[in-house]
Amino acid sequence: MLFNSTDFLIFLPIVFILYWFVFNKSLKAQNILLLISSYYFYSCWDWRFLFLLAFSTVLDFYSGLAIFRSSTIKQRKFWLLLSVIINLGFLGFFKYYNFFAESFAQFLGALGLEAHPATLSIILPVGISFYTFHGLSYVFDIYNRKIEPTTNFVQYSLFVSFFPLLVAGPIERATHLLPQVEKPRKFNYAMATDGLRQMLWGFVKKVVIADNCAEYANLIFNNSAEYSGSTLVLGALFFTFQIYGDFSGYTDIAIGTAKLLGINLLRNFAFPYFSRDIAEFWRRWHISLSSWFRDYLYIPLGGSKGGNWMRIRNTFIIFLVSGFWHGANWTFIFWGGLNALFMVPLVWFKTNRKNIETVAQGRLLPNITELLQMALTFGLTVFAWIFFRAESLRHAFQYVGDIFSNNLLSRPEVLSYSMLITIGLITTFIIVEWMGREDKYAIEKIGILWPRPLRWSFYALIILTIGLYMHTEETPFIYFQF
Amino acid sequence: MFLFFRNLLLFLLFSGIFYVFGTALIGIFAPRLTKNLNYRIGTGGNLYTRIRDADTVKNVDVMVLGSSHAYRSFDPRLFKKHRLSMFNLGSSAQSYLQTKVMVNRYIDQFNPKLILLEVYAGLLNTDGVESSVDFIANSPIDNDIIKMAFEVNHIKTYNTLIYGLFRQALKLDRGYKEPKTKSNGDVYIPGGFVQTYETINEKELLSFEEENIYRIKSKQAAAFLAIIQELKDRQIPYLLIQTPILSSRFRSYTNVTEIDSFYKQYGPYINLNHELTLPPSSYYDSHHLNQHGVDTMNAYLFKTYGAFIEALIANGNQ
Repeated sequence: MLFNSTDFLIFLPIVFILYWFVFNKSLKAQNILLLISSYYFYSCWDWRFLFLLAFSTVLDFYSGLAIFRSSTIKQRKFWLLLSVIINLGFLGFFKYYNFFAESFAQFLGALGLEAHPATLSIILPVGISFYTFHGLSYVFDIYNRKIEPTTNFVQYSLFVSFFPLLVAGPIERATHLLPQVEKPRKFNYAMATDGLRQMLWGFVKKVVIADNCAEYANLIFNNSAEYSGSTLVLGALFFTFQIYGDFSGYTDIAIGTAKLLGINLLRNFAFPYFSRDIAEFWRRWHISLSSWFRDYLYIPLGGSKGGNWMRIRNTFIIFLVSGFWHGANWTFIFWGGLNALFMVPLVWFKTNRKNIETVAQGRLLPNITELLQMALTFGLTVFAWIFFRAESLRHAFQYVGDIFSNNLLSRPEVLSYSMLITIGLITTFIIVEWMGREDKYAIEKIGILWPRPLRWSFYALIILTIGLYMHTEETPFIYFQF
Repeated sequence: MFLFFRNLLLFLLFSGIFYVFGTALIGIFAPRLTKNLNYRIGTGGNLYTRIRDADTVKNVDVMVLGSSHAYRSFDPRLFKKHRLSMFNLGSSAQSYLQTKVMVNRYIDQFNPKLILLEVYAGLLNTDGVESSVDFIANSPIDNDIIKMAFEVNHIKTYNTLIYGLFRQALKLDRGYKEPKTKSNGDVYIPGGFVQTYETINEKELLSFEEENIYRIKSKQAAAFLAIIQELKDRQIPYLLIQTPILSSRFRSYTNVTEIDSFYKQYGPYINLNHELTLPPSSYYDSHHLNQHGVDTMNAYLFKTYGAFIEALIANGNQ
């Protein structure tokens, strides 16, 4: 079930009404309702993978208990390893089996040996990367004695499979979500309206920005050999806004939905395209994944301790792993490596935590230095997205090569009236995002103090914009494939 | 909680009203600035004129329904030579959802002895949006059109409907007159036909090497069956017919047999693509005939199926 589908428009009000009106007297009943709803939500893609989700849940629940109850370090390690191996084993099989089989055959081919690996037609279970990481963070935190395991299976299952975050995050932590699942929840008017507001902005990002950009990004990337350099640059820019609108739009809808049910999810985006360096970008893009890798990979590897080479090695490791997490393709790994490379000067000169505050805080406009820094960071990001979007590394290099060899300064061939409308929408979107960059999402506080008719007109205008400009085909979210 | 629901309902009401007036205002002042509002009065297909023409006609021998393949193929002047009065209610991309509107609106008025239902296979796969906005802009909006818009269920159709209702209420199209001759060479011929002598350009002559497949949308299939049922209930004879498309295009489809079998189940069916191979000079584009093609096709139709058509008129589908 997609958030941007009619099914979800029916599903959510039903869950909401049952949750607050029918089952509101009992926390247990509310949690069971959410759990059943989450499993139903997931089964709309493929009910067969419910068993995998359930198995992963049972495994981590009991591993957590076993780690906690183990009296020796050896036993604790055993249960931790068991959970990690099985979780990553499933992830590896469903997501990476064919990649490894084909890459191995290519490697042998390069050595002059012929191999016909047995590739399997494996369907990737939606959200497997996300719920696997939920579960792993839980057992890691118990192993590291940050939390005690829950003994309530329903609550733990809900933590793993809560439907707003089940298929594309944010990747939650037990320390943050479990306490909320364990406590009785009261309806909070301000939180619910905030949730609706965030959902509304999420829909704008998804159906107005991302899906309209996707039309042109797909056209240009799928026929890149036919286009001039200027069109290819336009294609990369469209993809840049597509992926941001798509993923952060999904996240806004997820967080907004959870707020309607009285639950706060982790923030996942903080206006990343207004970053002044790549380190800041990665503190603002897919925050829940970046912080996951920071806590469970970067820090255990030594983090920022040690010399420059050690820190650069660790940076490369987490970016390469992060790239690989996105998908079984060399393009993602290269994209990760490229970002690591962009980080090198910052890590080397220890300036990676220079830009912590929001850009131009308290001011309407950035100064020239900030503007140039943002432009450079944005340019690097756009360049890296080419590798993320391309079908293969060969395609990516060809794309980059063609940008510089084919009339970079000519008029883009694909420029059309409807494309200009999309560019106008992107421009308006950037302005609104800039206005709200100090908040959790762009329209969190815009108009909040206005008189009600004016405030409602603003939201109604957003709805009108969606109706008049939304892309008319239901398009799945990009991150569902990860 | 009560406050939340009360305010939510009030907001939904407020935004609903805002949406209607906002859409109307955008439609009036900046229609080209939107992506999902497509009110185009007097566009290709001459539906505006056809509807006004049809409203003046009563009792015809043959009523033609279908897409642009219909209004660019069946010429009332040629039917007249065979002593048959005919009105062509075809319109651009008319899917079965819109054909139902035509049937409901004109069947009693026309009281036809035979219905020629043009059944281009591509119609089974259309979402009906293009034709729905054509109907909304060029035909008076009545209950059938509103019902059709809900069946199409598309944001573009809804927006255009809202704006169309607004224009209709304010009578903004009162003074409009559609030119009989269009800049692309199309000439409207009374009786619903559109004549052209333009010939297919070379680009479109390129062979269609890709393997194409006709698909069937359940919504369109259901609308088609509803039309057939309506005609059967009213005991009006009908003939399902596919008009010729450029032979290279026709050959590119790999499941023609399946489509032929589908239509054959529901009554007498002719696929002229199997019988008549016309040269490219008979085509306006890869889909549509020009007047040379129309003359040839109509002559062939009456020569080969004239007696059958007469029998259908005389005896019905039995």
